[in-house]
Amino acid sequence: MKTKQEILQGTLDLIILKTLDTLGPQHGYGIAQRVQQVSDGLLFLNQGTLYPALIRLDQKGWITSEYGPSDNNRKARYYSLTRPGKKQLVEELQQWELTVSLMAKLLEAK
Amino acid sequence: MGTHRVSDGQTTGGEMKKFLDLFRRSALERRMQEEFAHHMEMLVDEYRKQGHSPEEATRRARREFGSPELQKDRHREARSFPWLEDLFADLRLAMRQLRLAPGYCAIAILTMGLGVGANTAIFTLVNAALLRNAPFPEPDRLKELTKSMKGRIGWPVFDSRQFLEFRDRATSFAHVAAMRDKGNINWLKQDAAKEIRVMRVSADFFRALGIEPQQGRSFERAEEGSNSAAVAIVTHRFWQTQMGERLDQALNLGGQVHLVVGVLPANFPPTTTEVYLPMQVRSIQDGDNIQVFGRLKDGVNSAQAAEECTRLLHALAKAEYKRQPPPEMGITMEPYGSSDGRGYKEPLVLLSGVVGLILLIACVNLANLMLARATVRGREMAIRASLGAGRFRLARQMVTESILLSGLGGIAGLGIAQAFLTLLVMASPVPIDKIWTIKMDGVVFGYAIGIAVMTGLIFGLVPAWLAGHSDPMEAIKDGGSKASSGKSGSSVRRILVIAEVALSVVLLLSSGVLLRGLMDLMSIPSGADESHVLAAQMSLRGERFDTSAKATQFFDKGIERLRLIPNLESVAVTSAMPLERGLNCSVVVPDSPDRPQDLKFMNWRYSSPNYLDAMRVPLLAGRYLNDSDQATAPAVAIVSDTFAKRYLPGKNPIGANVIEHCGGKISRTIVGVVADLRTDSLKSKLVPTMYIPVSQAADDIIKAAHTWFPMSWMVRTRDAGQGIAARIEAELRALDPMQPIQEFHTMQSFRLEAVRNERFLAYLVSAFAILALVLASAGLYGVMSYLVTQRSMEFAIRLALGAPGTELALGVIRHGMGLASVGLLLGALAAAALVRWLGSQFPNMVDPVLAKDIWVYAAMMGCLILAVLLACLPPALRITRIHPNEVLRES
Repeated sequence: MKTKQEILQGTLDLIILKTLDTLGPQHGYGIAQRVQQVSDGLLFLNQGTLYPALIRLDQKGWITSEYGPSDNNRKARYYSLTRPGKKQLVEELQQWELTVSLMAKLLEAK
Repeated sequence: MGTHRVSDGQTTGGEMKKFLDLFRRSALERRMQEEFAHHMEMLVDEYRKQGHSPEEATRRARREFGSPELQKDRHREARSFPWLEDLFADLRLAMRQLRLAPGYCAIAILTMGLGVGANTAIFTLVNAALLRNAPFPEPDRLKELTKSMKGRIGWPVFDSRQFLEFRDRATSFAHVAAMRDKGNINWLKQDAAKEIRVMRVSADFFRALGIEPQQGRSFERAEEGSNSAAVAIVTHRFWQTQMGERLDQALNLGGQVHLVVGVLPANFPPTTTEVYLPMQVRSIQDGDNIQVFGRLKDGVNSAQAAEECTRLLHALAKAEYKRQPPPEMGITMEPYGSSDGRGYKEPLVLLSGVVGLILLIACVNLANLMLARATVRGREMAIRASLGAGRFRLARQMVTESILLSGLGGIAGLGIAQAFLTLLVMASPVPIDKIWTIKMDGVVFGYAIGIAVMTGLIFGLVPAWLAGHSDPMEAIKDGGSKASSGKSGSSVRRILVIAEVALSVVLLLSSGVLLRGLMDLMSIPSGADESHVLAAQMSLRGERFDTSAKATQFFDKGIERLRLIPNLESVAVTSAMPLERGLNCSVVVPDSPDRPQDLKFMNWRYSSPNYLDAMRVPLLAGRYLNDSDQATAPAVAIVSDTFAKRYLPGKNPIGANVIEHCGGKISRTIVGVVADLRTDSLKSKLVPTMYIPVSQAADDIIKAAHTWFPMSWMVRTRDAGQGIAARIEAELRALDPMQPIQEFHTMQSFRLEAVRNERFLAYLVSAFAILALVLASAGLYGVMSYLVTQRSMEFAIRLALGAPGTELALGVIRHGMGLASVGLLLGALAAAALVRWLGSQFPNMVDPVLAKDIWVYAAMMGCLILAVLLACLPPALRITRIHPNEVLRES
């Protein structure tokens, strides 16, 4: 599987939205850690990938952010899913499943 | 299955947020810093938890995190429009760089400011005079009738008979109207006299323009009938400020009461005229005094109208005039108002060309400046290139810098243009701000910004191109001395210098030719003996001097008093001195072989009997006027040579009868013929003139003369006449304290008055030529300086090897002179063509005869060579002061 930087931008959005959906409001470091865990270390979101994506999603209005205290009481920025973001997540999941089944059919065909 | 969409989601909302984020940059930057800091801290904590030392933890965190700068860049790129961000960054960097080099900045902005400013100022004039449209309905249908000969446009004036012909017979026009006699008149109100400007117009004047008076009515045909039509139409401004917005008044203008019958609307284009009077239209062949214009009928174009009018003109001449206009003379249709610009079009075109050349020279200097700067920064550029800045990025940054400079230069230029315009208006012999509305409107601003930006683009590209072609490694090795130069840089500079010199030469030669033309004009003799002549001008407007008897009495007493002044050779009085205008009148010459009953044109002056004698105007036949020519004696006249030759050819003029039609018919006998005197237009045709003793003049004409012109007391002194003016003033004040002397004039000052327009133009062009020379010299100095610096190593070696410094210096000077000579040659060639064009555009002033011009050319070349020498000297001298050891050590 291709790792690190070579993830399609679209799937990155999906990953982040899903993570926020699961975790609830989370800061950037937390998101990166979670993704690393769940993918068993195969997907390592370089900070150069993660933060631009977060900004992008923020600009599109799918996530929102605000300050909050993190562990060890440092100030951190917490991102959370918005209503339109939730809708987008559902749509994207559907799209993804379609893609997966399409690819499966194509690759199996002789 | 539907189409697979990879979400990339560029919604409009997203774009908007991106755009807005541009403005929250610093807040967002801060936020980004905080997030990264937080992330780093968490990472470090994590590694510490894993048991690493703090340094190791930090190191790993940093490696994992990546280069913060790179992250920031990527972050930024995601956040907003990257190119816009880059632009801002470039601008900020450019501003910082410029602040670090204030000298360079100042010179660049000043140079560009001068170039842009001069051009903008002249363009403002061109816009006001030639480009803007008059605010009449369908102004392009308004055409001025203009005589033209062989394609060259003449003056748009006709006589009354011709105007009537056009008005009544030309079918191409919906309306034809005329105007004449624009001048000053005394408005007498409640014992105070005020000078206002009036113009006489035909009845259809406003109708033809498409303007209805805001109040009251326009003139009617019936009011064209007699000269005493006692009505007037005033401008809105006049009505507001002078009449207190009331219409129930009559104006006493020049002694005649006019009832105000109409007020023009407020948006009537402002001219100097405040009150409009009806024009007397008679079917006579009086002098060419009338301007005619018309509104084309629908469906008729200029060519058709021109053809019809030409036909009418020639048909009329054949039927009525003995003298036929040459067959090539035709009528053309010019845009209305262009005659106001007439006589200004050529100077404006010339000035536009001149400031255009100056802009070019300024641009060359700017290019040199930027090249020099690129050299200096070559090392910096090279380092940045090796660090990974793209060539395009570097070039873009230099272009940004030059655009920033040109923006600042443009603003400076606008300021300079404003100042320059103010100066021009003040110094101009013609009240240009009254004739046109001179203001820097949107068009002018656009023009200024346009040339500033264009200049910046072009001259940012030159060094950018050179920078792009430099090899970074070489640049760093050489310490930047050759970074953006080398062979290509030097030759570019040399070419630029040659171009500059050539342009300056063109300007210098043009101004030289104009100056010589001016000098020629100034040396045209007036026809009288001008030595030691002083004229005191006095205005005799008003009731106290409105008859011949009153005037004569006044003059007699005055002359008596003035004769008491010692050291005077002669004293006289005249209504108009040589080189001044007289009154235009008509005359019937019954003895003339050519149409003896028709009115003919002549120029009229009155004088004391001894005037012509005192001015030593050569007497060609008969006698001068003398004291016996009194009011009671037979009416006599003296005529000029042209008068006799034109109206009484082949006959003896002495004893001939002439009937003066100058506000009254007076039959006179010619008793003498004198040589022609020039009037106020030095190079134009000689005018048939009549001189009358003041005691025999009709009262009406005296009143008119005194209303329109001041008269002159003339004295000729035996020697230089120190203090004469004071004596004259004292005597005349004792005579009548209520009549002040307006001005003293010598013949020289009349002559200067007569050529004031040509003088202004010649001096203006010369001033620009000097500016160009200064700019070009500065450019040459800069380039020679650079070349010397570039070759300093070579010079140092040669000096160390024993070559004499002066020889090296001379070599540099020779090099500079060599460049200048090439420029000189090119410029001279270009100038030759230009001089011929000048001769065609300014025939009154310029007569390009090579033999006469040679010494002008030589003088200008001398100036140029001197300037070039001065420019080359300091760099050359620098060589002699080079210490070989230091230079060699530096490398």
